[in-house]
Amino acid sequence: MKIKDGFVLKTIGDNHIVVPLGAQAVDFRCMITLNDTGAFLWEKLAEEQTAASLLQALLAEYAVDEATAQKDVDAFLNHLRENDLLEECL
Amino acid sequence: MRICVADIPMEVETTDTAFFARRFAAYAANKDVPPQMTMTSTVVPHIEVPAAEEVWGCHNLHMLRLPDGRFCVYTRLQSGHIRHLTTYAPKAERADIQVSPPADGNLTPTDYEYVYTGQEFAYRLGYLGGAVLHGSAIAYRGEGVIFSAPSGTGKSTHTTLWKRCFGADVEYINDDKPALRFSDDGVTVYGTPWSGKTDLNNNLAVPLRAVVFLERGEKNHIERMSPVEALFRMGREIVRPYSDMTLEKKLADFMTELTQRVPVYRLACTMESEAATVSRDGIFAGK
Repeated sequence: MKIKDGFVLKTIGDNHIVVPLGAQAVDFRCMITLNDTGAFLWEKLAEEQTAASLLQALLAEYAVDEATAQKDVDAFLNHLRENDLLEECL
Repeated sequence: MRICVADIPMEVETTDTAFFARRFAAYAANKDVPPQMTMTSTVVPHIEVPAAEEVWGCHNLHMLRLPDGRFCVYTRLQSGHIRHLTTYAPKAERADIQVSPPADGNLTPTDYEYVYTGQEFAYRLGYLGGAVLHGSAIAYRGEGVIFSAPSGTGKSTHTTLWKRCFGADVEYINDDKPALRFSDDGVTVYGTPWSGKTDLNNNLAVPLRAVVFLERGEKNHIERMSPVEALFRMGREIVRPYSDMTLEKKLADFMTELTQRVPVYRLACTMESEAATVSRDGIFAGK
């Protein structure tokens, strides 16, 4: 899976916001912000990832236990799916 | 006709020369300065879409890549009528516009020329690092404020209140589509000849003090908006092509930088005079 084409992440101070471009911007009406963990995972999803590879990346970057990291990854991916930001590659 | 808008010298040719001679008069420029943009606009009875690769399409807007490296964007209505077709160089340094108003439309051929020449100017400005923001812009004691909101919300009504309340302290910059460019450490707001339904515009360039997103309210209240929300709101009011991803990315960068250089406010307001006092005091507190 990866981020759909046409969405970029902009950082202003400590805040991160998803900005739609092109055709995605025509009908997109939601304001989607991410925390620092979400921004980290977003950058990883510029390339093809699996839930497992995202978990491993999070564990390598942050001092966090696996159960917490798994919850963070699940919540993040659900957030992206709810807003149709994810391209689930076969 | 040679004009200079937002420090961009341009050569513009249109079909309705009389209308544009009046609209562009305040922006007339010396032909000695080389143009940074050349634009032609022609009213035609029928538009032929060239045979070329379609690289983008959304709703009734389509973009083609021509064999010579230029791009072509056109609007095809549900009836099949091609309402406009613009052929432009990759960075919009040259744009050739054709307009063919539909027989049952409300706008005149000149209206279409006006809209599409303004649009192409905005795109060229975007490639040069600036942007056009949909809003009513005024200068208060030499500092610019842009009131932005979807059409019909009351932007022009609000700036009319400012003029009525504060008289000579207020000058109109542009009542619909002011231009913005970064200066050394701030933002400059410019008048342009494209000012919507009215010709309320002046060839001015002043530092931008604030952007204010306006909404109707029961009471008058102004407050700072977070840069993140400002960026979200601005995305819907910046003049943008949608079809050109290179320019879309540049404009996203521009908006991100703008929200960090200039305070952005949310104003809930009535149509009474107090609204102008509340917004003025909120923006210029302590001045």
